[in-house]
Amino acid sequence: MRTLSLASALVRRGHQVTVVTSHGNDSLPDQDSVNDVAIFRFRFLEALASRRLDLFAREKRSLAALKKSVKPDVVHVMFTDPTVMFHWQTEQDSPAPTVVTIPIAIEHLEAGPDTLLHRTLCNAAWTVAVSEAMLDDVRALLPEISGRSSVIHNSIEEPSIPPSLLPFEPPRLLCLGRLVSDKGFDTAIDAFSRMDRERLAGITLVIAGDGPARADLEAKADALELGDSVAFTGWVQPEDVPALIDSATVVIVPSRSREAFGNIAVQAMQLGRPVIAADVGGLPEIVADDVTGYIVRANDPAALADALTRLLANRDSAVRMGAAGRIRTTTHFPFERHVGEHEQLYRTVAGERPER
Amino acid sequence: MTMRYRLKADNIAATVIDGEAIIVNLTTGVYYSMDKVGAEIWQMIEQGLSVPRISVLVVARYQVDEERARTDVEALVGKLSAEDLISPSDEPALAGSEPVMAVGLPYVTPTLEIYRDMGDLLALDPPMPGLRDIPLQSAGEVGTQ
Repeated sequence: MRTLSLASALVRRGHQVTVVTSHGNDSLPDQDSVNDVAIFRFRFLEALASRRLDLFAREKRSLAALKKSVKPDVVHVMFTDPTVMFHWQTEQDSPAPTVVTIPIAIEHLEAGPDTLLHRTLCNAAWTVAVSEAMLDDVRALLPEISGRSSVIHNSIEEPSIPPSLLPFEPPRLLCLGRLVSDKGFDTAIDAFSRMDRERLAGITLVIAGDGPARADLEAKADALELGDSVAFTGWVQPEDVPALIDSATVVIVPSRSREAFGNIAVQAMQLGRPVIAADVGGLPEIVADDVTGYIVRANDPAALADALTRLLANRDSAVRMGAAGRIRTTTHFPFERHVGEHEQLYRTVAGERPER
Repeated sequence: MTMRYRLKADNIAATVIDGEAIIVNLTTGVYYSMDKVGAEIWQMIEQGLSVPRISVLVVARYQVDEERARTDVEALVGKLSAEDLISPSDEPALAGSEPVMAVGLPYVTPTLEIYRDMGDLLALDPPMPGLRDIPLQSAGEVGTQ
């Protein structure tokens, strides 16, 4: 879910939305407004990471004052880091039902009773998972929340550019995301090295994004003597992502750990790109195997190479898959439905009668 | 049970904010919090009061009988000790450390909330593109990819 997109859409529907978030390391203002959404930035992460309890106390008091001023009907928490602790610490300052969205894979997190995750799930009026796979994980962790949890699939607003034709002369493969081991981009490089690149003259694999695994990925491409056929773009500005996707023949999502959802797959499908994704987490809910692309086993470069070769061997089929993917995003992940599902959930937990 | 304890000041950071105690074990990175009764007990431990004396003061301040107060105070002190946040002490109470308190307040059993996953959660990578589309950090650092 894109917090600001959702908040902006809710404002357009007549709601008042205040977003509370953490400061990063730069100098964005403490208070801001974007699309009529009031944004307040606190030094939550800094206080927790530095263990500075004077800062913790100051930020807690500031949040308490804000809550007393705003008097929210519902608080919606994105559980992406430990800053939710400040919400629970100030819960009594303006009591309101809490909706918690789990937009991250939680399988590797400690989740015993003495954890913030456990407390958050226990205290929430409702828990939202961003995919069926994640809902299974959350309910396995805490079966007692089964009756107050559900899926609201992530959604992304339509891109601002129309899709262009798939390029085949030469084909361009794209992996986009943070360069960390879990994303499995090394599997994509392995798979690429197994393809018949002489027959697919000029084919390139673009690895877009940045992160701690970049050096290892570059070394792997070098070791496999892939030369300039693997391109590392580094960081891509979010506004440049649609054009980058649109320049690809196929988008690969080779994750090896459970992706909570797979926003990149949806973005690629919105732009009519076929997607080849690993069989982990929410990805199989997004990509319809053999219809909008292929689902392949994670960590299996041979399977990925085979799927890529099959896709590129039949251009008509690739184009059809891209078109089917575009339709699928409008039927399965439409943004307005995503907003409406949240709106309805807020009304339910706030005890309001559903709108007809 | 040991009569008197002291905070392990070299191993923890702790503060009481508006009646809530926040404690960090600096060795493990585990965070703790305690509600109002627990926070008051924490302050009384800090002041060097003995466990029996703390129980007496809890009874004086809250609507709770002696037996329950003693059991709860001992249980909380046991947990704080097990978490290596306090240790036995022979030192006397600080002079003039007996708190002046209101009486007859409703009683809730003090609970030590423990957050063992803070380190894991602080180390989380940001989610995939767009989730943090509200600018949090400069694009080159974390952002949305």
